[in-house]
Amino acid sequence: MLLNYFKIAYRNLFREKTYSFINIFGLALGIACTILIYKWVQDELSYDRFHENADDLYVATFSNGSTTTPTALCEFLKKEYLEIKYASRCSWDKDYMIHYGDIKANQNGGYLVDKDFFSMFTFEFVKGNSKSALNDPYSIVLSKTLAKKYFGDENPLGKIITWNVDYDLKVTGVIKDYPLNSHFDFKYFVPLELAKKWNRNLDTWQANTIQTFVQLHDNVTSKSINAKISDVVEKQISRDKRVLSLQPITELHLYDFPNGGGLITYVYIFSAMAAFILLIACINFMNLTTARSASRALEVGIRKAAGAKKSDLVKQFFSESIVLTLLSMFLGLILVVIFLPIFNSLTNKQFTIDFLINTKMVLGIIVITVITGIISGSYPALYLSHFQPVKVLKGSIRAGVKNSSLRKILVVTQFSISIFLIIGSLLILNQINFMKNKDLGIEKDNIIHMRVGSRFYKNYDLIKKQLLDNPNISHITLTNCAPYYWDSNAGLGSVFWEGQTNQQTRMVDTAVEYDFLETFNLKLSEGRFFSKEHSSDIEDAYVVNQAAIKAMEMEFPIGKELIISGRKGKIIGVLEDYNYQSLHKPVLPMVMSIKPYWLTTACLKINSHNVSETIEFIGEKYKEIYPEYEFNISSLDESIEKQYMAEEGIGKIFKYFTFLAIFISCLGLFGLSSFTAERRRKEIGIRKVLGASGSGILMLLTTDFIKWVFVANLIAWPVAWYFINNWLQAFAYRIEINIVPFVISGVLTLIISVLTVSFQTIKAALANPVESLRNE
Amino acid sequence: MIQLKNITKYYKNKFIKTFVLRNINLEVKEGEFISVMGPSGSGKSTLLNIIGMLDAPSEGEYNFYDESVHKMKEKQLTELHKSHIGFVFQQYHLIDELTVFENLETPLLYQKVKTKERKARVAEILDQFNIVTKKNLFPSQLSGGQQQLVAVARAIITQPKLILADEPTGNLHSEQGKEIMELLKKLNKDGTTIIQVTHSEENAKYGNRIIRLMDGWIEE
Repeated sequence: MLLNYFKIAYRNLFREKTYSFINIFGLALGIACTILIYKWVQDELSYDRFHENADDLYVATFSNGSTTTPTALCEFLKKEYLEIKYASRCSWDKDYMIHYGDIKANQNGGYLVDKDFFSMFTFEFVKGNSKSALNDPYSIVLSKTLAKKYFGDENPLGKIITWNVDYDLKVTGVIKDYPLNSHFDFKYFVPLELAKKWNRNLDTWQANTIQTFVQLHDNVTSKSINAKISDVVEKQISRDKRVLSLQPITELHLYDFPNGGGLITYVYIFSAMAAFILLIACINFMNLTTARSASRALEVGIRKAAGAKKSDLVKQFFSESIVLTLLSMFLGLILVVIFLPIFNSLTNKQFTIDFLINTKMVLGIIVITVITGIISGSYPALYLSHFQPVKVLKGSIRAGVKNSSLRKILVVTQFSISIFLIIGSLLILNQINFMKNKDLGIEKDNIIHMRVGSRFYKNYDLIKKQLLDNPNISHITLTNCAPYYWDSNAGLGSVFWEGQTNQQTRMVDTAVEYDFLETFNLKLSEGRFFSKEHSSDIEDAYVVNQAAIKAMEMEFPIGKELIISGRKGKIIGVLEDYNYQSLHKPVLPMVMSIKPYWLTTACLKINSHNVSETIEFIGEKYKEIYPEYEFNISSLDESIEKQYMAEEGIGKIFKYFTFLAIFISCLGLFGLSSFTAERRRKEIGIRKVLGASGSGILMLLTTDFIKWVFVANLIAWPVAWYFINNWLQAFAYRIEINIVPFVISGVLTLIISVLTVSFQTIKAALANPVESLRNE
Repeated sequence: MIQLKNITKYYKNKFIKTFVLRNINLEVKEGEFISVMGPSGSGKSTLLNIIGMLDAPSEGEYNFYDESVHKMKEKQLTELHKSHIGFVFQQYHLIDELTVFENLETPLLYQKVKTKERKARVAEILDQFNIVTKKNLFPSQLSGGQQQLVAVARAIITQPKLILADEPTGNLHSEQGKEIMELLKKLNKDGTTIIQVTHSEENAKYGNRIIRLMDGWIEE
């Protein structure tokens, strides 16, 4: 019996080649999309889960989202709270020079950590022992790749390398390369003990410079301990009112702390998108199968007359849809293999084909296939099997007409989804362009920046003169906060000012040089900028931005006294606000001062011609000052654009999936319109005999579809508006949603659907009526 | 009114020409009621389709009111046939999705008749055919005879000079068939030229001339 079912399924497949193709290809695309997105979601959700203690690991976080904590916090927490099993400090990712033999290079991914670190986080030691690797302050643990780079096939254990120019460290361990699906990018570790050699602030509440990780005992929840530690920092430093809490490390990648949102939004969006695309493909299947029911009705009648029960027929039609979905699944897997490289480049991932062979994935694929089979097979199976044999055999069921309203609803659903996606992509694109092109209030073109250190600013006057001698370099300045660079981890300073009542505010504390204003072409709204003519500027002058004035509610700021991070000074000028961080965030109050020993970044304005020669020239100068370092330079506008890489990636993926959704919808519409044209062949013939013209017939057949598209627009517009508006709330600077993208998407879907439909209807409209009205 | 000279119709199939009509010469004057008879496959319907401009002859000349139909373009043909010719089919060929009223209205719509006049003419014809009570029914709710009645009504609503009827009573029982034939005869009396294809000698007698076709030839 089952064989009989499959035989019929197989023959039907081949008899109706167009319909089968539309069904299988559409479903295959849907399944391929779903598999890829499933993999992406799985990957994003897996971030930092590979640590054995992942569920017990936390990072201490302040209520403003900053994870930069006092250096004394770690030891304090560990001592005071029994709930905490381990605790370790961890420096921020930094480049250090590593030198061994002939190889000398800046290496990123270097971290300074406490001894507990390897007990908390899971690292696979290829060589050495995780327990003892960091016991000696003069030791270093390298990743396999780094070890290979420096030592080739030699055994790295016990070798001495020069680290950060001044320190000779013994290699005490080699770890397997750290997985990519982590919030962190660990490449090598040095004991934090070593930092005591040059940093006296390693056990103080006064310096917020380091991250603090803790591991809780198995049975402890973060809630219970959060209640106890919330005011730990405030108790030590009364002016720091920020609430301290523990944030799971598994949430670092997905959630923006403390407001939520972040990547998890996109996990939801893409999951929904995969479901939508699969749904569109399933709808194609349902529509085409029921539309063709006329041709199957007779078969149903005969089978019932021959003794088939309704359940037999349900089984039969289900086996057909399952055969079809299985075929689609295999085609879908092939598509996944074909499109994987494109998907990788879109998402910046490095998935390889073997992800398909993992158990979870296989299970996922089976679930996707079964669900697809059930969704797409259920309606046709129930619908077709209910025909009454007597009526069918007498020919009184004019199949395909009765359930046309359901088909309309399904098509409207498909198009609503497509329109929603088009509007979404257009608005996301608009927002990205808006952020790229918005006037930031600063000059960002032709500015390059590089990291520098004390040797640079100590000889700044001489170096500056030498650089400016080159006619292609017009300006140079130094700062600790290049206008893309500031992130919340750098910390905010507490501010006190003359005339302060009960307002409280924290401000970004920025160090600049005298020529900062000119280099970035900033505008002063009041007062003056720092100047060498006022020799006291280096000691007690502040320039603030307008946001700061607003926060302090100052009416006449010039000359007012201001204290930030304990340094007293006077306000000499007010800058117009400029965006010094990504447009996700508003302009925060900022205070500028001249603090030479803070300066870490040199910014140069260069001529747009001869760029490569100019950079070569700067490189030579740099080598003269830092012969042992690598010369790295970036352009400011690129650095600024990089801030929107996430959105740009999302925008691209959105675009591709939108295209797919439209394509699959159109496949379905094509099938449905050919069915309609076929069903109305007789009517078209009659109308032509009565004098209808070809174009008249075309109108008749297309207006129906156009109506549906209109309805789809009506449904999709408000939904799209609602969701996109929500998405935009994540940006401090955002576009106004206007009607244009909506109209564009409406017109676009209309054109696409009319073109798709007319392909079939033109054929019908031009056919000779005599053919369709023949007696037989 | 109609002049056919050496009309031939064949279908080419690779090497073989299958002839449906051969050297048909026929003259129809205004006011005639012609019955075309012959066995199945003798080319009756093809001849009717050619006269009705739904099909083109392979060879020969066709003049309609001294205009050369065989030289005309598609658009002129549509124009000519929709203003001068009405069709009645054996299978009625009403549009299933439209009511009786709407079916009757359709040819007028294609002739761009104004709404007011359209309504008036449909009402008039409903009255004339005694089917006012059926105007809101769909074809499937009518008997065969009633459907054919509507089909005839639809054919004459544009007041054509010529009615082409392809076995108009073929699907009806004799009582209903008689009714339809009487109706055609009355229309003919009022001046409409009628050409019908029929199998029945009895129905053929309603006309005033009989043309017999055999294997595509006219038998005199």
